[in-house]
This record gives sequence, structure tokens and C-alpha cells, in this order.
Amino acid sequence: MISDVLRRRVLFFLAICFSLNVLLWLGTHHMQAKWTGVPPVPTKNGALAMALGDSQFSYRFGAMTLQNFGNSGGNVVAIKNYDYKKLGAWFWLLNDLDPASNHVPMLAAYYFGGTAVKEDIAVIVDYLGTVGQLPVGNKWRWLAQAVFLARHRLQDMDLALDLAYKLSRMQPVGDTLPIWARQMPAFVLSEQGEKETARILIEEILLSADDLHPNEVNFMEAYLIETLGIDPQHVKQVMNMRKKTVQNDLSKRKPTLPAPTP
Amino acid sequence: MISLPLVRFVLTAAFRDKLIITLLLMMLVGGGVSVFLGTSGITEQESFALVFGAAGLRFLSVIGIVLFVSFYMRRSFDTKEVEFLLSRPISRMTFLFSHALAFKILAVLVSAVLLLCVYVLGHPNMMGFIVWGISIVVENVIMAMAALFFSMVLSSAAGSALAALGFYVLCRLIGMLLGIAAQPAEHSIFVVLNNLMDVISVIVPRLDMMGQTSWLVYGVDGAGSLSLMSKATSYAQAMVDTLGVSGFVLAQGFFFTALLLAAAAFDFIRREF
Repeated sequence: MISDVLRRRVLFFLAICFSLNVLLWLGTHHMQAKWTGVPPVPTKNGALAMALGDSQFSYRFGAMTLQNFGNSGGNVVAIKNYDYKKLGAWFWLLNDLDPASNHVPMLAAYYFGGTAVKEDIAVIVDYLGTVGQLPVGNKWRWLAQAVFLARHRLQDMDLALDLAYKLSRMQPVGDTLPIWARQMPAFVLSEQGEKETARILIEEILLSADDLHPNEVNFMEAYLIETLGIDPQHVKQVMNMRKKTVQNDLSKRKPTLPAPTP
Repeated sequence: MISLPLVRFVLTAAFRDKLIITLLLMMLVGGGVSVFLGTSGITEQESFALVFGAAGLRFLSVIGIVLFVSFYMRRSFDTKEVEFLLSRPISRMTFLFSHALAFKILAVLVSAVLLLCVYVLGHPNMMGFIVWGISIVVENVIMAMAALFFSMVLSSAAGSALAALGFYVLCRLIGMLLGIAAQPAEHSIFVVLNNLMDVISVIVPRLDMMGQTSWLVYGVDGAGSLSLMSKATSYAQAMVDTLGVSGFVLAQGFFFTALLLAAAAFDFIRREF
């Protein structure tokens, strides 16, 4: 038999505990964990161990973490505040875990590539320039992005030309290098402005690549209008031309690589 | 050697156990969470959902099977159910093998639900999905037998579950540990440790080479299936050439299940009630 006195005491104790919890909550619900910058990159073995040896899970987990670095829980970090040396190390780690995926190259080219700091652009160019030389599928377009960044952001004509010649000589497996990519050295040498070159590059990719992920197409469309300030009507025309001329082949969307060595 | 009524008895207990129902519900919820996480990717959302779901549900299914087997077996010992059953015309081996068969059936059923969830989550590469599915079934059967072994040997349910899960982690990481051990040693102590790791690996199934989620995205050949380390002998080369991935998975499942069952039987016949 539980006495009324005991019941009241337990109820009183519960009320006290709840009140203390509310007092704590009044302070904590306005707090959040402080972002301390790009974390140090683990070794490949360390990354694999965290995913119990599953390299694809390790890649996807790392790629999602990279995508959300600093921009979660209400935090927003300006691109200039990222440590690009560490970011570069993350790019290479993830490239080691899955060289076939286009997620990290896309993130590097279209998001982290937006920085205005030359040293940081060099990290992106180095990464995209290497990833783009993988002779499988449509990886060559990352090399085209590297050429653009080297020419117009890094202002390094020699590097841009070097990468452009590498692109023009590529023989992709399972894809055809379009004429404009073969003529990339001429693009580099021409005196066109940054925005004009970027517009031509993106429009040409849209009008020739037949295995782009729909999100990437949307991203390019938004980039033309919002970043380059191209007339939306013109962009709409380009998108209509893409629908008429390019047959997006779903089966091509998943790149297949030769078996990687251990 | 198998008592079908006993197998049915164990399976009935499993279906009445809330752990199994909870596990199946958690798998459905886990699939939903994977889709949610995957769609937050800026591109390749299907691959993200597929990989998160496959890797997460794989681990979840192993945890569920290990917990059920460990706690069921320890409860059977603690409530003297084992002694009661052995007082009937059921031999020790019949008791053990019937339980093993029931747990294997349970592992296959859990794997089937897992495979269904993963298939619905995305558009996996079909050949990769088939091989992945076979290896997940084999992995769950191996882990059910490992949990059975530890629960026969250890007297605590929590202890045997933790031992089985520790064994699972070791099996998933053994490839990496052997890779590290194959590196030239800088100190004599590392030579000893490397050789010790080699010896330990004799009784550790290579789960790291099974159930690779990259098969679901790129297919078995596209992702690379089995490769050999620099110290590999022609015997290893011949094994890879002859068995292939599926053959390796099935061979490993057969040999390790038999080993674990034999070890459990060895302990059980020595036990005094």
C-alpha cells in the first residue's frame, strides 16, 4: 500500500526535477556546437575503419560530411573561411575511396570553386585537373572546369594551356570528346572575358553531354542565370535546345570503372 | 540429427519475441531515414540513399540476430529449458543442430526483409544486388552461428552478445588489419604482432570482402570484386580464378558455419548439467 505522503513526496520530487530541467533548457536552447573549421582529414585506413571496412559507405558518409562542413545546425560559413589545404586533403581521400562518383568533383567545381582567393583556387584546379584526366565516362568535363578556373581565376595562362592541351588529346572510354573540348587551347588563347568563357563552357556542356544527372543540369541552369547574369529567356532557349538535341540516357548515368587496385 | 518440432518451437518463440518485430520495424524506419539523408545530397541522391540504407540495415540486421540468439539461448539455460528438453528423447546434437537450423532460417528471413528494403530504396545494379544479397544472407547466417557459439560458451547474455558483436567488427576489419600486417615491420615487436595477426585471421571470416555496397552502385566487376595482396601465392590466385566472388562467399559461409557449429558442439558435449 503506497501512502498519500509518499505519493506527494514523489510528485514534489518530480516537479522539482522538471523545474530544474526547464531552468537548464532556458539557457541551452539558444546554444549550438561551435564549428571549429575544416577537421583534419583521416587516413584512408582510418576512414575505412570508421565505416567497418565498407569503402563505398565511407565515401558517401565523407562526401555528405564535406557537403555540410560548417553549414549545419543553423551555422553558415563563408567560402573564404574554409581551410582549402585541408579541403584538398578531403578531396583526395574521397577520390581514393571512390574515383567514379561525380559528387565531390561537382562540389569542388561549383561550390568550393567560388572562392576568390588564388591559393585556394589552385587547390581546386589541382584536384579537378587530376580527376578530369581519368579516361572513363565524362570525367573530362572536370578538366574543362579546371582549365576555366586556371585561366580566369588563377590567371595562370601556362597552367591553363597545359591542361587545355591535355583535354584536347583525351580519348575518353565510353564517351566522345566534343569538338569544343578538342579546341580548348584556342579558347584559352582567345581574349574572351571570364563570364563569356564560362557561359560558352556551360552551354556547350549542356548541349553535348548526354549523361548528366538532372540535379547537375538544374545547377548549371541556375549558375547561368544567377551567377553569370545571363538573360533567363536565353537560358530557356538553351534548355529547349538541349531537350531537342540531347537524349539523356539513364543507363549511361552510372559510371563504371575498371577494377581499382587495393 | 534435426528435430523439426524443436525447429518450429524456436521459430515460434522468435516470432513471439518483440525483438524480431522491433527489428523489422526498425529496418523500415531505417530505410526511410536513408532516403531522407540521401535526398539531401546535391547530386547522386539515389546512390546516397542506397548506400546509407544498405550499410545501415546490414549492421542493424546483424545486431538484431545476435541479440535475439544470445538472449534466447541464455534464457533457455537460465530457465532450465535446455535441461527439460534434454530429458526428453532429444540428443544433445539434435538439440544443437535443430537450434542452429532455426537460427539459420531466422537469419535468412531477416536478410530477405533487408534485401526487399534495399531493392525498394533505389535502383541497384542488378548483378551487384544479387551477389550482395547472397553475401548478406551468408553473413547473417555466419553471425547467427557465432552468436550461438558465444552464448553456449559464455554464461552471460550481455557478454555473449558483446563478444559476438566484437567478433563481427573484427571480421569486417580483418582485411585492413592484414593489409597493415603485410607492410614491412619497423621493429621486431611488430614482426611478432604481424605474425600473431596472421594466426588469428585463420579463425576470422573475411566479411570485409562480402556485402560491399559499391557492388550495388557500380556492379561487381565495375567496383572491383576480389584482388590479391603482394604476398599472395598461386594458390590464392587459383582460388580467386576458380571460385569468383559468389563461390568465395558460399565457400566461406559453408566452412565458417561448420567450424562455429563444431566448436559449439565440442563445448556442449563437455558441459555437465
